[in-house]
Amino acid sequence: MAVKRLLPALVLAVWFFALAWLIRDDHFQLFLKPDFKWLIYTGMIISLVLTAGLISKGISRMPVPKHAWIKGLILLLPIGFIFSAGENTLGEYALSKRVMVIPGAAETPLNPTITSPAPTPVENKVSETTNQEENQSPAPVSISTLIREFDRFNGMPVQVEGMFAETIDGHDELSAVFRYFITCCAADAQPVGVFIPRPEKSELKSDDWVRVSGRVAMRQMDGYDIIYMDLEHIEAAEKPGKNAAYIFN
Amino acid sequence: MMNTDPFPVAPPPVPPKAVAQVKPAHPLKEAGTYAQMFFLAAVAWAAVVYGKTEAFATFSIIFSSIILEAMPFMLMGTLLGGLVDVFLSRERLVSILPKSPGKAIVLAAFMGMLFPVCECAIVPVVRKFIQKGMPLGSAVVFLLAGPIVNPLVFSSTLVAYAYSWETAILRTLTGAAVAIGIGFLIHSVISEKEALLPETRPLKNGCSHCGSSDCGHDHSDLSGRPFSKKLMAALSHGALDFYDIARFLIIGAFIAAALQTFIPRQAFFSVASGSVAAIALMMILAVVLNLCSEADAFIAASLSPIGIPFTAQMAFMVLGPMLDLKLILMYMSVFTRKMILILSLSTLTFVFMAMLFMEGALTWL
Repeated sequence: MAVKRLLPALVLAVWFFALAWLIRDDHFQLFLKPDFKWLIYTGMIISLVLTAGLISKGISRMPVPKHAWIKGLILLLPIGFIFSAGENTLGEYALSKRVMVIPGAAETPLNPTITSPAPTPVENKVSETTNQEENQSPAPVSISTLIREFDRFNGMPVQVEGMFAETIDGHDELSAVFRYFITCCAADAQPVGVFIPRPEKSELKSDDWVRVSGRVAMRQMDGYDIIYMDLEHIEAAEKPGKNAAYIFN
Repeated sequence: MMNTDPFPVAPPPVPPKAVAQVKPAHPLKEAGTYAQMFFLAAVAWAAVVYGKTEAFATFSIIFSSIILEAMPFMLMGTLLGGLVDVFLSRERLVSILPKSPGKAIVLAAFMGMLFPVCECAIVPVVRKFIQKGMPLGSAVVFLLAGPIVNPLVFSSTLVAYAYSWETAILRTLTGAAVAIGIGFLIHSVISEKEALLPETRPLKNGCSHCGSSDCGHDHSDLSGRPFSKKLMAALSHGALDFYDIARFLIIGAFIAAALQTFIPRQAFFSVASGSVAAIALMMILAVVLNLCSEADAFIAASLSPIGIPFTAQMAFMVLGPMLDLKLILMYMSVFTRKMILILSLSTLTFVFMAMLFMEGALTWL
C-alpha cells in the first residue's frame, strides 16, 4: 500500500529527472526545436512542484489512486521510448513514409514518378574527382539555403551535405540526399533535399552522412517541382552534429 | 466536528455491510482497465520483438517528440486546475451566471478562461456544476467550449502553429460558436430530467479530478485554512489529476505516432483528396485519437506539410476536445444515453457545418 501511495510522487520525480537529462547536452534537440527549451524547463519545474505537494504531508497521508500501477506504468512509458531513441534522428525509414517536397512549392504531395525527362544512372562516379563544366567549381551550400533560395542556384553546380537515402520507393534508379525541416518537433518533420541518380558500386549505406556535388535543376514529377542533381561526385562525410539531420524553422 | 487534516492518515475502515453494498464496477470501466493492461503488454512485446528495427526507432522518436511537446502543457493544466479547485469557489462562479438562460449559455462558453482545464478534467467539474444547480444548456456549453476557450489551449495552439495568432483566435471563436449553438439546441430539445442520470445527485464533498468523495483524499472545506495548507492541497489535487488523466494523452500520442510511423502519408491523400473528405477524415481521427486539447494542436500542425487543408486541421482541433471515445465513456457518468446520442450527433453536425462554412469563407476571401 505504501508503494501505491508513493507512485504518483515517484512517477513525477522520474519525469523530473528525465526532463533534466534531456536538458543536459541539449538532448531535447533530438526531439524538439531549440526554441522550446523553455517547455522542458516548465515541465521540470511543475513536476517538481507537484511532487513536493504530494510528499509534503508524508507517505502515510498520501491518497491511493485507483489502478495505481497501470496508470504509473503508462505514465512512465514515454520515458522508456525517449531513452530507447538514444542519439538517433529520423532517417531513411521515415523518408519512405513521407514525401520530399519543396516547402511552398506544392500544396499536395509528390508521387516520385519522374515523367520527363528520365534520369540516367551515374556510372563509376563515386568518390571520383570530376571535371567541372565550364570551370565552375561547385558552391558549398546548405540544403536549407538551396531550397529557400533555389533561383540563385538553378542550373549551377553546387555541393550539399545531408543524409543519404539509397533508394526511393518504387524508383530503383533514384537516390536522395535529404534533411528534415522541423517546425515544432520531430513529429512534424518534413523531408527536404535533392534527388540524385542512384550511384553504382557505392559502399554508402542509407542514413550515412554524404557530400554530393553536381548541377541542380528543377524538374517535374507528376506535375510537381522537385530539385534534381546531375550527380558528379558523392562521398561520405563526417556528420556535423548529432541533430544535423534537422533544419529548424 | 470538521476534519482539519487535509490528508487523512488512512481511509476509515469499511463496515462489512458497506462492503456488501459496494456497487460492481461498470463493465465498460472494467473493459477499459483490461484494455490498458493489454496495451502495456502489447508495448512490452513489441519492444522485445521489434526493438532493434528502424521502424521502432522512428516510432520512438515521433512518440517521444509528441509527448515532450505536450506534457508540459498537461502539467500546466493540472497545476492550474488544482489551484482553481482550491482557491476559487465554484458556487461563487455559478452564482454570477445570468438568470437569463440565453445569456448564461453565451457566458458559459467563456468560463474556460477562469477554469483552464482540458477535456479529461472538465467532465467531473461540469458534473459538479450541474449538481450545484447550473442549467443544463450552460453546463453543456462549458463542457464543450471549456477545453478550447481557455488560455492554456490558446497558448499551445499558438506555439504549435508557430505563433500564428489568427489560427489560435479562429480556433477559440469557432469552438465557442459551435458550443453555444449546441447549448441552445440542448436547452430547447431535451429536459434535464431526460438528460441527466438519476444518480447524478449533489455530493457534499466532491472533487474535480475524481468526481466522487471516495477517491482517498480530502474533500473537506478548505476555506479559512492557512494559505500554505491550501497551496499544498492544490498541488496535491493537481498531481493526482495529472496521474489520473495524463495516460489518455500518452495512449493518444502512441496511436498518433504509430499512424505517422507506419502509414505512408500518401495514404492520407488517397482518402483526403478534397476538402470535404479531409474534414470528415480529420473528424474521424479526432474521435479515434482521443488527444488532449492542450496537445492536439501539435498533431494538427504536424499534418499540415502533408497537405491536410487548414479547415480539416481546424475540424480536428475543434471536435477533438468536444467528442472522442474517452469523452463518450466519461459522459456516461453524467448523462443518459439519449442525451449522449443527441450531444454526439449535434456536435458532429455543428462542427462539420462550421468547417464547411469556414472553407467557403476562406475560399471566397
